[in-house]
Amino acid sequence: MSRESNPDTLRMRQDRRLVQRLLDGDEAAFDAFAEDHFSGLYRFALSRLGHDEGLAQEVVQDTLCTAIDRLDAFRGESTLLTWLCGICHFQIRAHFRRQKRRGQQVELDEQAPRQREVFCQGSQDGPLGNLERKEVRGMVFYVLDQLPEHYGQVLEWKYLEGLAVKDIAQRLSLGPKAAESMLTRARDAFRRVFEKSVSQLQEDGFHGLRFSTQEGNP
Amino acid sequence: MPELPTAPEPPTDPTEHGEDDIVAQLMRQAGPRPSMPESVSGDLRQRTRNHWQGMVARRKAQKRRHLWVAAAAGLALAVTGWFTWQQAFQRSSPSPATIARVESLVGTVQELTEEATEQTVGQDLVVGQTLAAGAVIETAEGGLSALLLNGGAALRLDTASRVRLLADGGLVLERGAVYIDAGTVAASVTVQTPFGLARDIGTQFEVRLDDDAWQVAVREGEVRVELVSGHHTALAGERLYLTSEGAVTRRSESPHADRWAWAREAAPSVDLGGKTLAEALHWMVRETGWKLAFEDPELEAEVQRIQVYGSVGDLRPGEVPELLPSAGLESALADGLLTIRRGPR
Repeated sequence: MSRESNPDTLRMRQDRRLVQRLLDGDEAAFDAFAEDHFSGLYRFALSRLGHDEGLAQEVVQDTLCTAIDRLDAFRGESTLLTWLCGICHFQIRAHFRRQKRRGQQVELDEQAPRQREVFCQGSQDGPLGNLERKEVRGMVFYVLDQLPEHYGQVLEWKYLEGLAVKDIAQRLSLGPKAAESMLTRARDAFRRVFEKSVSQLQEDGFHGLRFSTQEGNP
Repeated sequence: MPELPTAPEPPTDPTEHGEDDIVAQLMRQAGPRPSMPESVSGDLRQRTRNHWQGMVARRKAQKRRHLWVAAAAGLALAVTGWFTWQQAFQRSSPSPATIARVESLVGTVQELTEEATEQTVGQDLVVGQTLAAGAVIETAEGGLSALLLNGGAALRLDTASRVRLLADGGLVLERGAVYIDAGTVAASVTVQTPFGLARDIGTQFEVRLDDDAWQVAVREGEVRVELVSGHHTALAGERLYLTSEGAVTRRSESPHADRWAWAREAAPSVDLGGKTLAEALHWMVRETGWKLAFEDPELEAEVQRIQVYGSVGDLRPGEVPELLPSAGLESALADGLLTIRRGPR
């Protein structure tokens, strides 16, 4: 697959352009930003906050305001949603630290450390073996939210609603071959992002950091 | 194990790969993505839009100021000769000096203008914003802020706090608490309160204001506390409780006690990419108050050569030990002492 058509590269390029337009005050860019990112970010927070909708809304609001303030620091080395989720992750931790300081009993519902443990155990059954349903769900939602354009949507139409390719084509106002091609790209993109997420958790599970000696050998 | 479809359908098109299709399995196991409630969506969008519009307006205003300054500089160059002649007969008003820069923000933090002070309405700060002498900064309930003062000292505001920045690099604490890390190179910082003032002598310290009393706690170095009745020196590991009448009580307080946690939380994040592990650990020590010990001198020298690389979002000081396993190291924290060892091979 060429660099130009690689969905990851495409998404990151789109996100860099979007951020620049946001910094320039483009109203249409804000609408696109809200449409493409708010739901995914909300789902990310919700799954980590025991499905407390009120708290998730509060955390997501803080995350978005912080992200707006730091928008010119976005380097485009990840997708915008990944960057937002990183900020959200620390907002969640800050929330629990404040709760703890106030002496309130809190239950941490952070899936990432548990997933890290699970993947590092090297399950014989592959990445799904030791995961509970809710953990798989969280990973799948996260991956779908990362995909560009309509990819997540066509995958849901295909595998959850059971639509045939011709019906998907009709919904997207595309020819059957074009719809089939999009579905294939969506599947490939899903596999790639899912495997990348799994391997990142297997290596370290923490922001993708690596160490090297000054000789440069990792 | 994931649940497989009980009645698999035979493939009907080229994109259907049957029961062993992992994408199909994962999608069906996960089910549909939950959508955000409409009320939540509308509220989030509106508030975020307001915040974004404020940010855009401030960026545009800053650009206009820069253009104005650039134009004024050009004009000044063009009329230098005339100006020099005029200077003998005029006094030009000094412009307010930049006294601090905003390094990090949590929650609502505002600058209160002179006109707005009585109504307690202000302008939201943004990271990177510079502040002039006389600026009044206030954190709301749940808010935290970190500023970098011109002299190099780090100033942090606890929740529900208010300070006025002074031209000499000091500040007036009007409410709540501040933490100052003057490090080893920063100029001295003086904190004034209604009951007295605290002057640092190269240190990390906190000043906290209560209704009719105040506290000075020192993590590192010393702080000279000046009252009407005389002065006292607070040493590292001490918290002084001072009443409005000048009575003083001293108590011990560990540099890593929980009471310092808010200052750590307010600290700006640091991108450790490209830094050595030793630098990361040094930053951690300054922010947490922990002491650091190594298994042996060779390991202590080795961490100077281990480099961190990668992209870091918002690493917090207490999370630095989580990096160690990736370098083949492990650590144990006990009573404020972090001991680093080589991991099992």
